[in-house]
Amino acid sequence: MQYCYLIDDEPIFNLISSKIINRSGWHGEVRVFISARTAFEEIKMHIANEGYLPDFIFLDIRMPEMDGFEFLEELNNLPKDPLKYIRVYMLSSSLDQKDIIRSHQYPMVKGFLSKPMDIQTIKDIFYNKFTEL
Amino acid sequence: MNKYVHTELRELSNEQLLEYARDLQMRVGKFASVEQQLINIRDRLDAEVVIHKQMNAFNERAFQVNASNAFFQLVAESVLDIFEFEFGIAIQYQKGQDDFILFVTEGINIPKLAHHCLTAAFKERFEKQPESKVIQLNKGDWPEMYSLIPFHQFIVAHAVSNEDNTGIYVAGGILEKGALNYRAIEPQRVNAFELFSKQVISHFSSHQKTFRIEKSERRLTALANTFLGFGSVPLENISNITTLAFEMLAADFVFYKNTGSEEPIVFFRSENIDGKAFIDNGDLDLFYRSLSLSDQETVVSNKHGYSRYLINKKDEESDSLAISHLIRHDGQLTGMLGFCFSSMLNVTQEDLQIIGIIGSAISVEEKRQVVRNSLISKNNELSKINGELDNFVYSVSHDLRTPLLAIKGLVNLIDLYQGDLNENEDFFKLIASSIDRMDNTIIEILDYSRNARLQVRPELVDLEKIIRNAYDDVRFYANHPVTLELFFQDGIRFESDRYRLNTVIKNVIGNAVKYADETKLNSYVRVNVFRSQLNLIIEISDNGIGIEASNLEKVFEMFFRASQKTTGTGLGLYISKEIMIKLNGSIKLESLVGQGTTTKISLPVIFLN
Repeated sequence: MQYCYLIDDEPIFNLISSKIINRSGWHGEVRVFISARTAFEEIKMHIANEGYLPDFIFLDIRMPEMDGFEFLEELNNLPKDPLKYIRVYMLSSSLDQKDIIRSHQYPMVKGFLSKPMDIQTIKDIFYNKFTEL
Repeated sequence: MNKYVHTELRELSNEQLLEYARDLQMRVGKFASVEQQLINIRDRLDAEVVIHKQMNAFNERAFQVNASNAFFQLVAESVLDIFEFEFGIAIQYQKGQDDFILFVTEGINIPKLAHHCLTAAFKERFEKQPESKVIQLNKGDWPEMYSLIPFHQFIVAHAVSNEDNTGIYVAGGILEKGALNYRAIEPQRVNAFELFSKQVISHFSSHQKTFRIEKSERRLTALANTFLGFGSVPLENISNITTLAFEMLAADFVFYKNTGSEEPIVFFRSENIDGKAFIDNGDLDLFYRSLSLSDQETVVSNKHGYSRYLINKKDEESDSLAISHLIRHDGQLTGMLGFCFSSMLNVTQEDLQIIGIIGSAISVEEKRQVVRNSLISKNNELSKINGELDNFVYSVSHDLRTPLLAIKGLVNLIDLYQGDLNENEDFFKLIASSIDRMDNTIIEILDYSRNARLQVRPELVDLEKIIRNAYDDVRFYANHPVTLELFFQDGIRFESDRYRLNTVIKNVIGNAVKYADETKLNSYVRVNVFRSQLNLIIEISDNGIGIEASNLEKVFEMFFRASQKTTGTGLGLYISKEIMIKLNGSIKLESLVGQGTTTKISLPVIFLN
């Protein structure tokens, strides 16, 4: 069983993403977070309990309280080993080149996607065919 | 002739011949003496030619010298070269003053302390013989001088330039112990020496002019460097000026007093000057007061301001003070700069000009700093506005794109979920709400720009209607029922800016409804409107989720969102605050998490009853 986290403070994008994932034919479990802090606490808890960690994280950048980059920073401070299979994809409405460059500084970030998520990209990601342009 | 002599001699007697021979002998002797005289004259002329040639050489070298000290060194050394003396002395003095330049050749050793005695002795000697230009002395003639220089023969020439008030003494001679090696001083050398002294003074006069020009140049360069060194800290400038004052103007101390400061800043040339006592005794103050407009006054001005300097010159021997008033172009006195001199005799007209220029330069500098500081603060303000603008563009484009991208996603979903009518109905509803949200953002931006752009326009306001409309608009979006309780003081009629007030009320009531506490059954928004003297007070309280204390100030910042519960733009309260600033009113928040929030608006309005 695979797990996919959707982290976005805008519920409408979480809804759009989960509906698209639903149609992609992928048979995993989607978990939705409107707070990066909550998602982070969840991951920390799973590490402590040796529970199931997400295989995929779709992460928004601009969020109140804890933004996407702060979330990545916090993940960096956790033990590296359990997190090595997590693949993070930024899912943002940002067009700022700086955001793109910055996100690639984190090794667990595998791609930078523009909102909204589209079905072909999601299939490529799930079936390991995704290559960034 | 021989033939004649031969014939005559044959006829002469022995006696006659003898007499004839004696006569010839006498004649030869006379010729030899004339010949010797001629040789002497030739030698003397030769010697004079040598002296004149060497004086010419001196003239040529003198033209190339460019400093007083070097010039008098050359004069003293030339005394040896030209006149074949054993020692040479050159002295220059100003009439009526004690200081002098003195140079002595290496042949004799006169201690520095004795230089003064030497000069005084020369002066005294020539005062006794006012007619003479040159005095020649032998060992016994001048015992006082013999104690300084054990001379065998001594010669002193005195020449004066009335143009410069300058005099020179040129002296040379032979020491007692070396006397045998030297010729005695003959009158020709005495005459040539007098001529030489006249040449020296004429050289010196022409040099003086050059020296003066060069001195001015040096001062101006120093002055220019001082002003170039003006930095941003006034005290540093003052220390530059004091260096200048001490080195160039020979001031004993300098003080600077800004009109804003109580105590003057005082700098002394050396620790030996008992200036502290001067200040402590209040003499400086007294000194300053004693200056009046009747004292010598000069004004140096330029387009930025001018300085007026006053000179206390009661008595040339006593301490004197030059004060430069620093006056701005508008006539305001900004400070004063004072230079104290131990004697006014040391202060030239040029010095005073320099003091005036320094004063006006400080005025300019002070003005420059005022302008600079205001530029810095304006620049900071602009940087801040620029930063806000950047942030504004970034945030607005994000806030407008977000619903647009949501719509794009939903349209894709409608395509993917073809035939699923339930799902499609949800998607259409979400598209509609995204469009509303986009519209709201645009309206808020318009509100913001309208507040910034439009004039305040008071008109009769129906506040009750505004409150009810604002409540009705937002109520339908809320998932949780919130009731409106309105308490309106009777008979209040007033004029205010209707559009702006509407925007504020809409934002505050909107927040009260959006951030209602869904765990409570009796959620309310309570509005209290009453008059307090000249102000209208609107209190809007709710029992919503509240705002954390740490966020209470930030909620008024542009694009700040305290909660992720709803999808606000982060502009509402920022705009409300901007509007209240424009209307000269105030908006304040009080809040407790879990208890609720109270917004207090106080607004000056025109009451109609």
